[in-house]
Amino acid sequence: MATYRYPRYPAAPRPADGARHPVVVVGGGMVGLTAALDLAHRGVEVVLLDEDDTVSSGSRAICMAKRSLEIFDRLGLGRRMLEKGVTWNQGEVLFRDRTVYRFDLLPEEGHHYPAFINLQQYYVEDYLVAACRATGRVDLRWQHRVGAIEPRADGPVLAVETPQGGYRLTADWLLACDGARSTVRAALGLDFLGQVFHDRFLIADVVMEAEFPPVRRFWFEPPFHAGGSVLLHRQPDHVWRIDFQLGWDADPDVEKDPDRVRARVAAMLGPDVRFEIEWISVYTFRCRRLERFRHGRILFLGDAAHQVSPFGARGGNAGVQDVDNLGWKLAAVLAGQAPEALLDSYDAERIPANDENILNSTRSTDFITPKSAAARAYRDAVLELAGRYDFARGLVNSGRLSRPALLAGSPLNMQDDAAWPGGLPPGAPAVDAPVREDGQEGWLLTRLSHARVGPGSDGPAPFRLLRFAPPDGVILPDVETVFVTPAAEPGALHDHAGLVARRYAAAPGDAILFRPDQHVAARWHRFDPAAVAAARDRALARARPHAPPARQPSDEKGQHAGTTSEL
Amino acid sequence: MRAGGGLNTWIGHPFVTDTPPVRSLPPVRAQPMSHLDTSARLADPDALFAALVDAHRGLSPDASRRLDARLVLLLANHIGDAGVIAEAIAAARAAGEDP
Ligand SMILES: Cc1cc2nc3c(=O)[nH]c(=O)nc-3n(C[C@H](O)[C@H](O)[C@H](O)COP(=O)(O)OP(=O)(O)OC[C@H]3O[C@@H](n4cnc5c(N)ncnc54)[C@H](O)[C@@H]3O)c2cc1C
Repeated sequence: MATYRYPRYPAAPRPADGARHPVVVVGGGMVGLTAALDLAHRGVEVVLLDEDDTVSSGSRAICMAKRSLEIFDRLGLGRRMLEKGVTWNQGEVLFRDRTVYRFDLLPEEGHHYPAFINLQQYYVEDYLVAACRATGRVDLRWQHRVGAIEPRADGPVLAVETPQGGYRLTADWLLACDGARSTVRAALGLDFLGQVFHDRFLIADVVMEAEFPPVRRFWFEPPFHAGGSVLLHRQPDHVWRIDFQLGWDADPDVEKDPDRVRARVAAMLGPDVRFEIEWISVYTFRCRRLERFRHGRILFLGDAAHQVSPFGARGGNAGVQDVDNLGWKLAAVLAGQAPEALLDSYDAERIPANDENILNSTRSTDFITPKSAAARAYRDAVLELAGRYDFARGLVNSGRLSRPALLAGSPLNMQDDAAWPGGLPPGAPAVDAPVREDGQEGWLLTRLSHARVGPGSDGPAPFRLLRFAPPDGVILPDVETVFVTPAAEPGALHDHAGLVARRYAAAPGDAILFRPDQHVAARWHRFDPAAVAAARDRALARARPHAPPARQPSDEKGQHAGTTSEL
Repeated sequence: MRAGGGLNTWIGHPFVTDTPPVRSLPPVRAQPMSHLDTSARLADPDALFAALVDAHRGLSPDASRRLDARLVLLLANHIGDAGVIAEAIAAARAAGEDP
């Protein structure tokens, strides 16, 4: 690549045979590196094995979603990514030569991070490697390839190959982050089933000086690319991603010919735009997942566990959410704060979340590549109507962009015991809002993630309680309390814009408990330390599994139950 | 041409809470389920039939198919009730099968 120099990480020496480690991560892609960093931040020592010696090669993920950025912020990388990346919130859909639809993914103020940034996957991984190193807790072993695995009840034994020969090591816990062609998955003989899509797409990353706004642009059947669709994204370093739909019959080798690609790009940009080609690839895709992500002491994350089409940017972003979900749970188990059963909730929460991604991605793909004459007629009918009628715009599907999972049915949630006029039900990820603390401008999410010195607040799996009340000196043993007040008060977050109260639909006296991954565990209109302790126990799977989270029998009006199920 | 809500924004999703969720408020619950009405409701059936056929005059088979699709989409949106539309789809399919 002309704009990026690939780092070459030195091969790690071959260690002594037979060592045992609490956590081994296989795969140093964006998901494995994020997992290692998250665990290191929680005080866990991690060994990471990667067969390669550099970051993601070529052009893959670029769209990093708001939730991923918030997670990276917690890991100390959010600002850096925001500064380097191209921020975007808006999209434009064109049909033939007309705009049919524009959308704004974040049409309001008061958020630290935008709906998306575009940042090449190699930068993301590059930053993650540096951050992993800086923790001093991640043993990065480049050019260490896992060849074989022997699952055992007390942790799998891995046979690792290095340039200096092989060795064996045992992992108490193994995180399989080794991508779509996962060796770990194959070694366990697990099915990876789903749907193959019969279409091919050409990626051309070009370098040019162009003044198009940073808007995601998607064309159906533009005049410059008859019969197909085209997607345009702006990236840092004056690089632009152009994604051409080619159809199933296209010959990938012919399509990769640079002259042919140049002609396609020139037809799109017009004769006056000078550009250079940075990267060309032709890809196909599938939507599929493992039946379960946890197999005893082996847990699958990212593309090793599930795969989607790129439309919607749900691949890498889902993997980052996998990490966010699993990291604190594993840390809590390792620290003896939670039983191993907590790890089953990784399946209970992330399987529905990834099914949602697969569903969205499949529907987008079916819209972009109609599979029958009838599907095509409906697709075109929608596009023809969308230019005129508002209702049809919602039917246009050029990719439903990654949104975080709501974990609505999670066994870790404590159901509301009273009606709420909206806000965030248990399971939902925290929403940001501007706050002021000691006169300093800040963000609620930052305050809900970075550890503060306080009794019992630190540790592998910190829970936080947001209380809409002036500080009253009540200290909880295992939960850090964060007070929020509408006026400035010492020891409280000042909700100066009123957005914390509004976004959480909170009134004075309310309290909301957040898990370490910032998802809501429970909320109350009344502060009761015993209820907080019980909700924390449930979220750590300590509560005896007596009954599924209770639905409210008395809830005839269905106010909060209705809101929950619709979210 | 900006979308007011729906799947391409976070409106109705916890990210975006300042704007009232378009789809999720007020909670649609406890409404009596309506069903597809298949009783004879047309005042002038011959005129309707003629209007539908006339609309296709001069169109190629593809264009004709798209016209029908546009018509279905407009009417489906007008009905606005996914349950009724599902019943109509099932009824339409069933009526085309061998008895
Ligand atoms: C064209 C395209 C566009 C995309 N756009 C987006 C986007 O905009 N946003 C988004 O979120 N996602 C996007 N994705 C998806 C995203 O790239 C993947 O979801 C992401 O790379 C998954 O990360 P991962 O770490 O799980 O796997 P990978 O990135 O594949 O990493 C796997 C790692 O495991 C290592 N490895 C493999 N086998 C072994 C072994 N046996 N031993 C040791 N190490 C091993 C590899 O060296 C590699 O480093 C896109 C994908 C494509 C193809």
